[in-house]
Amino acid sequence: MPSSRPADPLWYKDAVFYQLHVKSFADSNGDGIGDFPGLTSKLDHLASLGVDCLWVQPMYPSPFRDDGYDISDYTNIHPSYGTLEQFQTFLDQAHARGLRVIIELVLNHTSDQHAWFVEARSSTDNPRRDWYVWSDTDERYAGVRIIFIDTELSNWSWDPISKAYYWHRFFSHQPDLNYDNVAVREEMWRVMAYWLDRGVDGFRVDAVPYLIEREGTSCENLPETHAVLKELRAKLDAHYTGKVLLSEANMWPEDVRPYFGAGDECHMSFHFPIMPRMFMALRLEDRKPLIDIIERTPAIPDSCQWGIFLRNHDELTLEMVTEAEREYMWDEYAKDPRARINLGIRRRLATLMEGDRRRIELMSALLMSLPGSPIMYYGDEIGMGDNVYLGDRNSVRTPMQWNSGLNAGFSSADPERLWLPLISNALFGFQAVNVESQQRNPTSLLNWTRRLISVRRSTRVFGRGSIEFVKPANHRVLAFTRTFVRETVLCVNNLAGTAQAVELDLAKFAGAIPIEMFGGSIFPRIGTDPYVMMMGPYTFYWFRLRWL
Amino acid sequence: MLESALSDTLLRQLMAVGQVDILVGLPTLNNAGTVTDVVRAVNVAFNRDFPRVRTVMINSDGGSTDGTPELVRAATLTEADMVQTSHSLRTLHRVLAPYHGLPGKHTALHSLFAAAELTQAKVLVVLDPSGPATIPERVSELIDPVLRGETQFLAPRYRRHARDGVLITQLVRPFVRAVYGVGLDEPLGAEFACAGAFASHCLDRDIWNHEAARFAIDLWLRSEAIATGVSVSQIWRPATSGAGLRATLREAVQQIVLSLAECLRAHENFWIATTAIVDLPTFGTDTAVIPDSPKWDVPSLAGHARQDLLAISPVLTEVLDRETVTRIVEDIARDEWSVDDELWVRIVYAFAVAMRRSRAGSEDLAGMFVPLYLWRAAAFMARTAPEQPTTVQQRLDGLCDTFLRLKPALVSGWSAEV
Repeated sequence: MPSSRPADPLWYKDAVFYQLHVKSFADSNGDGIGDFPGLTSKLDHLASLGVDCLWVQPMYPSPFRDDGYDISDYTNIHPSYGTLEQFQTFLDQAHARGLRVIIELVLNHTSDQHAWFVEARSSTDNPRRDWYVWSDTDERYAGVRIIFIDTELSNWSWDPISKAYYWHRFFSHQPDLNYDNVAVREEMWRVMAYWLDRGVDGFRVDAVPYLIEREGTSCENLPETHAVLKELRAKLDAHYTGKVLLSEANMWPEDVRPYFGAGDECHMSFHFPIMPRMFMALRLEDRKPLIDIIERTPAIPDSCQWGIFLRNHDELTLEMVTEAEREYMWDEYAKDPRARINLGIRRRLATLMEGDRRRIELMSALLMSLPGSPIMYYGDEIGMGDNVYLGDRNSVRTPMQWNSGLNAGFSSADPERLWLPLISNALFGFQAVNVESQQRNPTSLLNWTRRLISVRRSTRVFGRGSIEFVKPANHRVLAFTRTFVRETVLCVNNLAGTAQAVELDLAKFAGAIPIEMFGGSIFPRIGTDPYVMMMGPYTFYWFRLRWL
Repeated sequence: MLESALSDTLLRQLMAVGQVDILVGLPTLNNAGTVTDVVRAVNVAFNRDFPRVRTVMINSDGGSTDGTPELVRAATLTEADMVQTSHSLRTLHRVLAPYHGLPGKHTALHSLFAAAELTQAKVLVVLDPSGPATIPERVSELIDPVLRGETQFLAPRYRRHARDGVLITQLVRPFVRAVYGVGLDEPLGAEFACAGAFASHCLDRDIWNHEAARFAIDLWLRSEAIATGVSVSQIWRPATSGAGLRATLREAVQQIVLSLAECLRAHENFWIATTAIVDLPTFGTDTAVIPDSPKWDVPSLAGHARQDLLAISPVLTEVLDRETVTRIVEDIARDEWSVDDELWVRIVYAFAVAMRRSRAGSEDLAGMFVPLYLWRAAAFMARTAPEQPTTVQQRLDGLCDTFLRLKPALVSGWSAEV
């Protein structure tokens, strides 16, 4: 990092993260696939956006049968993305701009193409045999749920070479590593150290609940799994400072809570259930779903942080909702059945909001003001659309739209050669929605998003503060205060598409003067009577409360 | 409900004003004689020199009985003013708000700082209603350097006769110069301009009810700016009769001594580590016209000092060493007023250290210090009466050097275990 930047070990609590896929961001060599030199050339865009940390999705060598989450070499770069030297240049250039970088760490499994697995399956007495989980029968760990029910019939697959079954919680081409084996744990630490020594600022740790298997259990969230994470964290803390582990566990917050430990496991974890409830609250024009999920979210250690997001590279997952809620979400947000996949919706933010700028802004404001560190998905800063006609979840992984020229400025390859086609419809196509045109327009979504991030960064209450709901009688209005040390911010959000009047009981803040944070306008002093506000459709206000 | 620096009346007016770039504050108390000219000058300056930026002038009145607020409200541009200015592009906001709370300039400034914070002013200028800002140029020259980002705190400096402002030349200036390491001419000047960010910083400091703010807010603001690394500059301003004037000399000395001690406590991490002297950049032009020497009744001053010193001499040993007290007593007996620089500086530093050790008795200590100051002032005025200004100025420079040379004694005394 630049030496002028103070090294706050808790930087991730204040950070705005930006998730991107190298192959979709910018292609420098005209092969139709994004790469690290291309990404490096776009760092100025990311720095000017105001984000703090880039989350780079898998960039390792991989047969790409699971979008790179099937890694065949943990210490190299996929040739399509560039070289290790080019990765290093990217990392150094990001740091030079004050941007941190976290990368993927897929602990649970490797690709079946990985040399470790090739060796392991070569014979039962191979030294690496015990790096994976083998069985003579497919009846061990009976009853453990199958995650990919559309494609897998069992968590065991037969290996015809070594004539035994191997364990896999995900696809059959992704054999699970055996974390009971100390050699595996030591090797994965070496992998982490390899990238940390290069300067990465942490890892997004994929699929953490499944590291250890035990008979008679669900093989998920086991104490032994937490012990593995604690061991890795202890090594991380012993050798490095200012690094972060962001765990992926798509579960209810009370089930995710143990992954923070006593501040000695993961620094951050995704808060999955809050995401669909933001969309649900908006559609229902009712704050209830959001308040319910936040109030049932347990406290976490002071050094830890939730990661919250609106959209990511996967579907808008509806696993952490009830059946009725899921049906409602599908009916409202995925009327076209092609938008549905697995237990979710494969659409981007802008299309989910039907291109309505007011709703996009309100959702972004919620993301930036609710407890946790916000994680933006690439392209959402300009309102990119999606293509539900593409397979799997590729609908939301199309190339970044930089300008209105050839291939949206993403690549100089023939359009047919792009790894995914560009969005080209009249509403969200690259001719209409791109970075270059939005740069030139002061009122564009891009410039508005920059402003939003800069306002969030003007205070620490959003990253570190407590939350307290105000709960006016009007259920269409979501109002809450965020407080950190001596600073309090009042956030008022009209979830409805119609103008609303609301009376807020702010008596405990009597005497404070609300100052609107985007424009600096002064509002009447808060007294002991209800504070009356008029809200336009889908509007929101952030007020800094000052006692002057 | 917490006590607010902003009355509801002022808050309502500020809501209408909204964000501004320049906030000119005018704290007044019975300034009917000069305030109309100052308000007109501010208006012309806004119109003529800053037509595109958002401005507001706030009069914070401390309860004038001579019609000052009415004059502020009624002040309009003259025909001559109209010739100088183009038609205003923006609404010119003039806010009148009597301040409430403790009487004193610090309360007025507290309101103005709070208003600057609320309106997110980029520049806060505080004018002296009896000062030199009776023509627009004198208003604009205070605003300009801060608005352009050339400095964050702008303090006036006045061309004085070397025998004028004895409290400043014999105590405050050399003390601040040596302790804080900056060549600041007027630590007590009534006017200043500062960046909005510095105003916000000061607002968050827990000093507004402390002695440093109550008795000498201007001194505290300057020392805070220096100690927090804000870029401080000076600007030449014509001296006026009101510059640096205090209610009574005794009160002024006592209050300033209390404020100096409070500043020392607040900034000890800064000044203890400061060894060099930094010259401050200066804006504007020095008129180089030296005013007349002031007239003092030196024998009367010395008489008061002698009388008081004889009364307190038994307790002086609580602060000063026996040798120093003996010398003072002998001098008093001989009716001599010859306090040399080194003795004077040692006395000042000894009182500073004593006030650190005996915070509860600070007011008594400051009271004990008053006759010592009067004695020194009388000695200085008597000695320099026949001298040319340049000679007197050399004496002042020598005193500054002595304060700096003996600073290690202050540091060691201050740092010693209590």
